[in-house]
Formats: sequence, structure tokens, C-alpha cells
Amino acid sequence: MELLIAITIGILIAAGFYRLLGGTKVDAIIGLILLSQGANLVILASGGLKRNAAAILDGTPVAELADPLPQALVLTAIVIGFGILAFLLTLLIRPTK
Amino acid sequence: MDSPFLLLVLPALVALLTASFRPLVRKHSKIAGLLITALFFGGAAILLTGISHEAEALFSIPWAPALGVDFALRLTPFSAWFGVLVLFLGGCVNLYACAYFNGDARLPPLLILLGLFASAMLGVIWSDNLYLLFLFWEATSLLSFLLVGFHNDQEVSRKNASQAFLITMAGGAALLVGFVLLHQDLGTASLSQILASDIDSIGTAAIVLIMLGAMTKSAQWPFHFWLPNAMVGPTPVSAYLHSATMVKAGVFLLGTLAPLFSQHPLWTPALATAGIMTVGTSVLRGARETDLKAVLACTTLAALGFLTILAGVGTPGAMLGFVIFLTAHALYKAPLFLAAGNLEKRFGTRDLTKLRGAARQLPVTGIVVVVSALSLIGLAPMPGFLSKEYLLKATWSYSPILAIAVALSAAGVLALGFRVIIPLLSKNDELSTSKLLPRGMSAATLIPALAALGLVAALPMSSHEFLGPAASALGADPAASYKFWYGFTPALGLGMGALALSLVVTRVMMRPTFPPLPEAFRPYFDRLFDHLIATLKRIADDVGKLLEKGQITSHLAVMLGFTGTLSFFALDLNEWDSLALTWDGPSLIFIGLLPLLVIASVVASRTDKTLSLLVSLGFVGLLIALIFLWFSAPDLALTQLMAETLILFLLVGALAQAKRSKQVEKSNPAPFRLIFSIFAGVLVTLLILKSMTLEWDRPVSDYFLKESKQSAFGANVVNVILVDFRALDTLGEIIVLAIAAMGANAALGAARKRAPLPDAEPSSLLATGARLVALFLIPTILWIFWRGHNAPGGGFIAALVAAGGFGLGLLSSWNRLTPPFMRKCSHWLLIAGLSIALFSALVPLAVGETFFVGLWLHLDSLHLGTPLLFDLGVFLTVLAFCLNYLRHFHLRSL
Repeated sequence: MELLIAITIGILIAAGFYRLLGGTKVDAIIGLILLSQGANLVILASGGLKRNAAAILDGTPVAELADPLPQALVLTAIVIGFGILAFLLTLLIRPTK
Repeated sequence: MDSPFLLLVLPALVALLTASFRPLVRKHSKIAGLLITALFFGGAAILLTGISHEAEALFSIPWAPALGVDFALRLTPFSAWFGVLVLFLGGCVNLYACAYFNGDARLPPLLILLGLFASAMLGVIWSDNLYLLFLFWEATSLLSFLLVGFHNDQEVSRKNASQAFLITMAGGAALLVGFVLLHQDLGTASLSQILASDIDSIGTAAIVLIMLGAMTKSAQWPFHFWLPNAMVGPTPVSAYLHSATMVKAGVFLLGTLAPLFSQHPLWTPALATAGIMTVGTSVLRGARETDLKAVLACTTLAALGFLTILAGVGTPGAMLGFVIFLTAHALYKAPLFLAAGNLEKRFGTRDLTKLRGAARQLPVTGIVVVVSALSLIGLAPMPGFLSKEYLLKATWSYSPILAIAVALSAAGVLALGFRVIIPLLSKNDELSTSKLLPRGMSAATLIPALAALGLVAALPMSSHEFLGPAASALGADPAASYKFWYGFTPALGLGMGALALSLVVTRVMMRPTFPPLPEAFRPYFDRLFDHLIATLKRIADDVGKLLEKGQITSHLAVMLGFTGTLSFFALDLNEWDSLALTWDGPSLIFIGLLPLLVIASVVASRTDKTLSLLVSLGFVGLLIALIFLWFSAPDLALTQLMAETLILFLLVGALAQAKRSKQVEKSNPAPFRLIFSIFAGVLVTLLILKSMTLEWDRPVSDYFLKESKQSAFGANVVNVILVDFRALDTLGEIIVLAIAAMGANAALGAARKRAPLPDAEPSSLLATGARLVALFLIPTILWIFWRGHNAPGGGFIAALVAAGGFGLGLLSSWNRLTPPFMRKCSHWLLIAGLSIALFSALVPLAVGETFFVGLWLHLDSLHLGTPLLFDLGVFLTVLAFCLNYLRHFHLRSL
């Protein structure tokens, strides 16, 4: 499973770089989207991957739960990534004189 | 005196006050000048009473003790006496500046810089800690850059100021390394402890580097050329820089370290050579200058050279000479520079040939010039005589050859003094002025000259109370005192010889046939410096052109390639722990999804068509949401789903717009991109695999898991982290979002006023269905928000769902969602959201708790608390952010 997630991230990063090096502004933005998806997965994976162990306290021993800290970080990263993307898009469509 | 801290910050406080009352200072310059001068003089007086025969006093505030950095000040009689000079001359210079720039808009900035500069200089001479000293040292370099380049509208000011800055900063870097080495050698960064240690334990490198630092600061050969160039600064600045501050910092350090470092075999030869070379070059240059300030600058160079020689010799007798030389020079150089400013103000020129007889026209200035120049020449009743005699005495007892060399070069310097004074005093009826100088300028010029006279008039007293203790702090004999008459000594003979020789030299210099300064005359090292800087710039340009071809794509490739190569080495493939690859059953689903992800990513990375781009990107986002769900992160899955939806909404609008203005840029060749990206992907995969073999300790997460229920009353730990444990991070995040929302208004503000594009009829099915969905959405949003603390959900997700509802409404063209309505909506939501979030953070302060501590109200099983309020703030801010962007992008997508 670790191998699979690592390959997934690798593919996302490769696709992101390929797009990023394309040269147009649209390329840069799409590339960044793909890269940030990969980066989010990296953070999640860094906490260790667990199945059926959401960090919700329901009596399960704490040690068996998934690490909540990377999840909180990724949640923030998704929203901030969305914010950055939205701002980049305004720069893309900004009327230039 | 209880503590020198207050005196240290006094000039800086003056600067702060000036900065706060700029218009007032400008309007009442004279009063401001008097007040500031009174403060400076008061500080000097307090300090003066504190000088005694007692040894040093230490004042220390711990700063970073683990690193050996403390805010430690050390007050010896010498550094206190030096402080008196800094504050006293600082007062005079400020008084002068206020009269010189009376009512000028440039006055407040100048006063601010001068105040800060005085504080920095006091810091240099009073620091006990090496690193503190270094900080103040660099501060004087930086401030002198601003002061020298004060007339920043002139090219030459900027050029010379940056030259001074570069040289002193390079020296500062050497000094820092020297200090670090010294710290390592001796294990202490305290100056007082260093001075008490043994010379054998100090490495040569440390001593050489510290010498280099001090020599650049004090403009010693071969770094001497910046000082004459630095006279482009305003007159009060030059007077201060040359007399008591800046260049004196270097010789101060040399003098302080001399008692210990002069035992090193390299110290005396190196400094004596540098000093003699400095004096020699300054005489050669000064003989050809006709600019009054330039000649004075050359005499400063010479004085610094002599001081360096004395510090280099470092014997008790030399330190006796060091103190009196430093004092005498400060007290005659400041008035001379200020007098030069007076003459320039009245006669409009600094050219000595045009200023013939000028000193006769201005009585006060004339007296000051005579008194100070006599001191410079070293004639009997002046302090300058003492400094010359003690210089020769100390060098003679060290080495007669050195003394003769000093006397010979001194003859040249004395001749420079005659060169200044003879034209100014000669008879000239053509030159006349009826206007009187401002009183402030005359007074500021006169005061230091009077102080010099007072010093010698009360010599037994001043020698016993101030100068003697100061010298003994540097290792001189405590019983020694300064006297004019020692009987017939070799020093007296050498002094007379130098004077006689200087008369001859003066005759040669004053002859009309003496070659004047050629137009293209530039000292050798000055040219070398310019050449060096130009070469550096060219190399930087070439390297820049090599790596950066003006295209973002190649630039990116270089940066990413470099980072990638570095991380490849960091990977260290030889050391590879075995990774326990687990292939448990349910991952079969995952295996099934992976090919889909590959296809979607490849399409997203290659396609040019908007539709396939949107579909593939949406697909990637969805699959990642699934992965989140799979690996026990339901909150992430929900957030990802909603964010993807909104991203698609924005992308539709943006790409449609971007299509219309298609720009063509040069792209990297496809094979290169392919190889590059595959390499990057493989590298990242390997890095992750490697990182997964590590065993993580997770004390922070365990703490969160344990405390979440007890102290934050929430079962959903992810949400509790966001709104309670790490709420400050979240606050920062929503502030970023708020800024991004306002950024969009700034970037697209003009376009917003344009009429919407022709309305396309939305599908009637969508219009009807959307209302139904919206009806269900409202309770759903409330529910998601409420349950967030105990189950997947929360403010972020609820806000994204709500924004999705608005997006739906926009797509089905509801009448209510007009652009002005949306704008108002997002505007007020933003304000409300940020205020509520901040309020919830600040409420605990009111009941004596710390920032962001949760306050709870318990009603049976219902827990209400400030984190919930904070979550509401997050909800509103994120919603406002989304609405603002939906509004901007919708205008275009219709």
C-alpha cells in the first residue's frame, strides 16, 4: 500500500512538472494544481497510513487511531491552496493594458 | 552612575522624539537644536562625573546566554571618557545642524540619523559582549552610509556612500569571523574576560581578521580611500564622522585590544606599517587637494594613522599617547570641519585658493580656525602639542627608527595644517561679506574649541580626573599624568625637527609651480576598487544570463533541477532500510483506482482543450478525495470534494476568458519536459518510500488525541486541532484568505464595473431543481457545521458547501444574486467572520486567561464554548472569500 501511494504521488508530481514547464500561464496554474494535490498526499502519508481509524474518539485505543496532525495540516493546505489558485486565476484573467 | 543603558538610548530617544514631532522640529529648528544639545550635554556631564580611578563596571542583561550573547555593557574610565566625547561633540553637531538646515525639510531626517548614529557609536564603545559590539558596529556602518549619502539626489553622494558602505561592511564581515574565532579560542565572548586571558591561546587568524575589520573602519591603508570620498555628506555629518565617531570605532577597538594583542608578534609590525603608509598617502594626497574639506579629511587620515601606530606599539607609554591624541584630535577636527562649513555657507566655496583671507571676515570662525589649526600643527599651549610629544615619546622608547619615520611623516601633516591656515589668514581685500553667520553655527563651532582650551588650561585637574584614568584603563601607568614640559628629550628634539621640516615642506607646497591636482587624478586603490566592483557586476551578469534567459520555463527548469539534484544526493541510496511492503486485501480497490488516476493525470498534463482539462482535473481531485477517505481522513475527503467543485467553477470562468486572449510563449522542448518530469516523479517516489521506513514518534499528536475530549470537549480531533489547539494558525489562515479576497478586488476592480456579458438562458430544469436543492442545503449546512466538533464536518466544510449552493444559484441565474448583492454579501461576511474569530480569541483575556484559551459553558451534555464561536468566524470568512471569487468569475463565465 505504501508503494502504491508513493507511486501515485510520483505520478502527480511528474504530471505537475510536465505541465509547469509548458510555458503558458495556464500551464503554470494547472501544473501547480497537480503539484499541490501531490504535496497534500505527501503530508498525509508522512503521518502513516491507516485504514478504518479516523481520528474520532469513540472508545478505540488512541494508539490505533490515525495521526490527526497531518490531517489538520492538509485540511488547511487544501483551503489555502484553493485560495492561492483563485488568486492566480484572477491574475490570469486580469485585463492587461 | 547606576546604569549606562539610559545614556546609551538617550540619543536614540532624541531621534524617536524628532521623528514623532517632525513638523514642530522643522518649524522651531532653533529651539529644537537647543533642547537636543542640552540633552546631549547633560548626558556627557553625567558621564563625566562617573569617571574615576575605579576599574571597570559591568552591566549585563541576559539575551541568548546559550549562544554566549548577552546585552552586556562595560564601562571603563576610557570608554566613559570616549562616551563623553561622543555625546559632547554630538550635542555640538546637532546644534550646528539645526542652524545649518534651519527650517529645512531635510533637518528632521538628519537629526534622526545623527541621534541613532550617536547611540550606535556609544554601543560600540560600551559593549562588553563581542556580538553586541558587532551589531552596533554594523549599525554605525549602515547609518554612516545613510549620513554620507544624505544628499541622495546627487550621483556622487550615492556612489561614495556605497563605496564607504561596501568597504566597512566587508571589514565588518571579517570582524565577525574574527570575533567568532576569538570566542572559540577563549571560550568566552566577554571583552573583559578576553582582555584578562593569555595571548598564547589566541589564534593568529582571529587577530588578523579583527585587525582587518578595524583597519577598514578606520580607513587605514590600503582601505584609506573611502574616507576622503565620504566628505560628500553634509558638514555636520563630516564633522561628527571624522572627530568622535565612525572612523574612531576602529582605532577604539585596536586601542582596547592593544594591551593584550600587542604581545602577538604580528600586531605591531602590521599596524605600524599600515599607520605609516596611511600617513604617507594622506600627505601626498592632501598636498594636491585645494578643497578645504578634502585637505581636512586627509589630515584625519593621518591622525588615524598615528593612532593606529600607537595602538600597534601598545606599550603603557603608547596608550598614554593614544588617549591624549584621540581627545586632542576630536576636539580640533570637529571645529575645523564646522568652520569649513561656515566658510562655505558665507562665501559659497570650499576652494582654498578662493578663500584667501576668509577667516579674517568672520571673527568667531577665524579664532576657531586659528586655535584648532594650531592644535593640529601641534604648537605649545594646545592639546595637539601634547599628543605630538607623547606620540614621539612612545615611539622613540619603542624603536627610534619608528620614531624618526613618524616624525618625518608628521612634518608632512603639519605642512598640511599650515596649508589650511596660511591662505585663510592672509590679507585679501577683494573678499568681503557683510552677513553674519547664524548664532547657532558660530556657537557650535566655538564650543569644542573652547573645550580644548579648557582642557589644557586645567591640565593638572583634567589629567588627574579624566585623561589619566582613561589611559590607565588601557594599561598605562596609573601614576602617570600629562605635562607640557619634560625637559630636553629626544621626543622634543624630533618634534622641533618635524616643525622645522614642515616649514620647508609648506614653502614647497605653497609655491605656485607645485603641480595641482589633475582632473583625472584618482588614487590607485580607488580605481582598483571601482574595477573590482565592475568586474563583480559583470560576473554576476554573466552567471545570471547563463541561468536566466528571460523565460520563466527555463528559469523554473534550472531551479527545480538544482533542487532535485541536491535531494538526489540527500537520498543516499546506499543506505536503504528494508521497507515492509504490506499488501493487505482491501487495497485491491486502490489498485483498481490507480490506472484511472494515471490516465487522468496524463490527460491533465497534456491536453489543450478546456473541456478535457476540466474533466481530467476534476477526476484527479475526486480520486484524491477517495484516497483521503480510504486512509481514515473523512474531513479531508469532504473538504477536497467541495474545494474541487468550486475550483471547477472558477476554472470554467477563467479558462473561457484566457482562451480569448491566447498568448504564445516559448515552451521547453517536449522530450526535455518528459525526461525532467519523469526524473522528478521517480525522485519524489523514492524520497517518500525512504521516509516511510523511518519510525515516527508522535508526542504532539498523542497529546492532542488524549486531551481532545477532556479539555476541548470534541471527539473529532482534526476539527479540535483546527479551532482549539492550533487556532492561532487557523486565524492566520483565514486572514490570508481575507487578503486573497481583497487582492481579487484590487486586480479585477476595474473590470467589475463592466456590464455582464449577454445572458445565456439557463436550463429550466436546473432553475427549478436548484431551488429544491438549496432548500435542503440550508439545514445540511447547519448540521455539518454543528456536528464538526464531534464528527466529520466543521466550519471549513460547511462554508464550502454553502458556497457551492451559491454557485448553483448563480448558474441558474437567480434574480436575487445580482453582482452588487454578492459584493455586499461577501464584504459584510468578511468583516463579520474576522471580527467573530478575533473576538473569540480575545474574550479569554477579559477573564484573565491567555489568548485563545477556550471558555466553556456546560449544559448537561451540551458544551458551548469560544472555539465554536471561532469556528463560526472561520465559516463566515471562508464563505465570504468564496462568494467574492464566485462573483468575479461568474461575470465572465456567463
